[in-house]
Amino acid sequence: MANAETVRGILLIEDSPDDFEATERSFEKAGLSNPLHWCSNGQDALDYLQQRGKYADVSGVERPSLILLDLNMPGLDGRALLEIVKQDKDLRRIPVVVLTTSNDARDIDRCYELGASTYIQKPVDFDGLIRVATVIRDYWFGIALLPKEEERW
Amino acid sequence: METPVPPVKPRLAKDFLAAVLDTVIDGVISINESGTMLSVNAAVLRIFGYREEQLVGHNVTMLMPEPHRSAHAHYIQNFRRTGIAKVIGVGGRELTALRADGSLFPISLGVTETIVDGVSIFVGVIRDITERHAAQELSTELAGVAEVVVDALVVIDETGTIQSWNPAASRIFGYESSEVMGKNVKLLMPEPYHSEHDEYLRRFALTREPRIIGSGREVTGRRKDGTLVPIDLAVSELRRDGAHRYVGLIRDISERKRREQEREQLIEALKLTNQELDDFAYIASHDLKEPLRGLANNARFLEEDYRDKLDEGGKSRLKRMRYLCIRMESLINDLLYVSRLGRQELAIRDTDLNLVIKEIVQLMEPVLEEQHATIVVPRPLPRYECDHVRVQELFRNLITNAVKYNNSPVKSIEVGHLDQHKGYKDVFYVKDNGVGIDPRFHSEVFRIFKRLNAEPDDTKGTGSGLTFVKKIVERHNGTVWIESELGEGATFYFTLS
Repeated sequence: MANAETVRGILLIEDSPDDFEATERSFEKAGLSNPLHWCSNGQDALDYLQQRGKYADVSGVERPSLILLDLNMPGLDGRALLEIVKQDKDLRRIPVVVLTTSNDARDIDRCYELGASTYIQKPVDFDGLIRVATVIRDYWFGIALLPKEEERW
Repeated sequence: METPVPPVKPRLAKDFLAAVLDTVIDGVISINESGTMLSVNAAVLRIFGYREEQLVGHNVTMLMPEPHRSAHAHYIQNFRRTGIAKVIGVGGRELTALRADGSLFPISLGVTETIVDGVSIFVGVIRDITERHAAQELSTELAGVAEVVVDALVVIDETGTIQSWNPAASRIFGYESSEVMGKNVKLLMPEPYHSEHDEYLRRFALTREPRIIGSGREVTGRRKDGTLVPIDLAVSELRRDGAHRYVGLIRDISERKRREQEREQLIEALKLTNQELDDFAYIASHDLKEPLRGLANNARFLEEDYRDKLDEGGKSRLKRMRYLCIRMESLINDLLYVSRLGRQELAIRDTDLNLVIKEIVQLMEPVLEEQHATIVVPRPLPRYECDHVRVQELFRNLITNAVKYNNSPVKSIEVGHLDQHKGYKDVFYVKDNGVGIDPRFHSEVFRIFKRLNAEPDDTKGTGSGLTFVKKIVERHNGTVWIESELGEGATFYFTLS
């Protein structure tokens, strides 16, 4: 059940434009209408979350209600970003759903250890992606209750 | 004060001397100038194996082998003519004599001349030196052995002084025999042994606790030029006739050491290469998947967004593209899986293989029914130490193949275990009544992505099932092989250790 508070942005951190496009499309198909913001690398995502760099004086930048995070990115990779976000006292309350190609047990273990809420292996086909989007919608924006937005931001 | 011994009376003297002559160990023969034997004592009879009447009155040459036998007459003649004693008066001369049974043996012969009643008599004293000779021969032979043997033989006494040195030792250490005889063996040792060897000898003499005695050990020796040489040293103790010796057998193992090192390096390099290959396959699979995903999605989005603008040809072309992407993805997944099999640790556990097969049968029930296939396990399978999950996959792949490559109306598959087969122990097998495999391809079929027959798109596999089988078997340090002829079914045999 959607209400004004829960219609907040989703931050998708993903280096592949093809994967971003597919995710965006699958969200549409799944009826997930939250605004989707895309950062293509870890540093950019960090700037966005901390309102730094090119995001310093831009209005309309809001803290996302959910972060979808790919692990394998050039530069600051997903694991490092996850660690930083979960140690930042302002950012750590945002649920992070790791959405990545790897299903390596070590990666899974590490992400949960660092504080990720969920680890999902990116489905190989588009139909699978639509299913994931549907479940995300039903779970994070249906059943789950999210922390209130801080005025400070 | 000694009691004087009364002189023996003349008549008794003769008997006395006769008795003495007949008890001495050495043989005494008297002959005349023609060589005719005049008297022989008891020892002669014993030594040569004759009776007295066979010898006395006969020529002494019957006790000699050729060439002496024929030459004896000349010897006597020469002596008469020249007066030069070859055998006469000369101390024990070693010759070869002939026994009654025809055997030859070595003797030491001493001959003297005397005159009795105006007649020249030669008296020969004969000692059988067979034993002495044997000892000498052994000694000579061993000395010969020490000269030619490849390994160094160094003998020291209980103070460490070198008593014996052979050419091999010279070769290994660079010292001539004259340079080391009488010197302490520690000169062949680098520190700390050089300083400690005296103590070792002392300690062993005291405690009799062998540290190096009796066993071979790899140590380092020091050559004359100061360089070090790796050697294999075996020491034994020798006590004989009051002499106490240590015998060292030394082998230069520089070559062996070098080869060992090369082998170690090769193994390390191989391990590294294998690791790199596995990592490569793993990384490549992951990185290859990303654009593939993009490709598949783009084809789909194209089809979805431009559906109205595409004709049948366009639509089917896109369909084909999407199929090819799925195919590629299967291949990459299989590649990834094979590489993972090489990288991951096995979870070895005591496994009930009957349960493993039961689970497979349950899993494959719909397929088996549809294909009219039955799986038979004639004798219960043993419990075995192996990776449950992997071995299940192994069997599943073989059984799947057995069903798939089978045109019989009733497909029967047999799964079993043999205590022994073709020289291997604990052999498992999966046997089918399928189409069989041409022996030409028995090794090729295990290659990844290799298929023997063209197959329609919808049932086509990637051709990696047997590669998984082989990899899993190999990870268990086992062997897998096929026994099959075209048209006569196939049996896959494998071991898991």
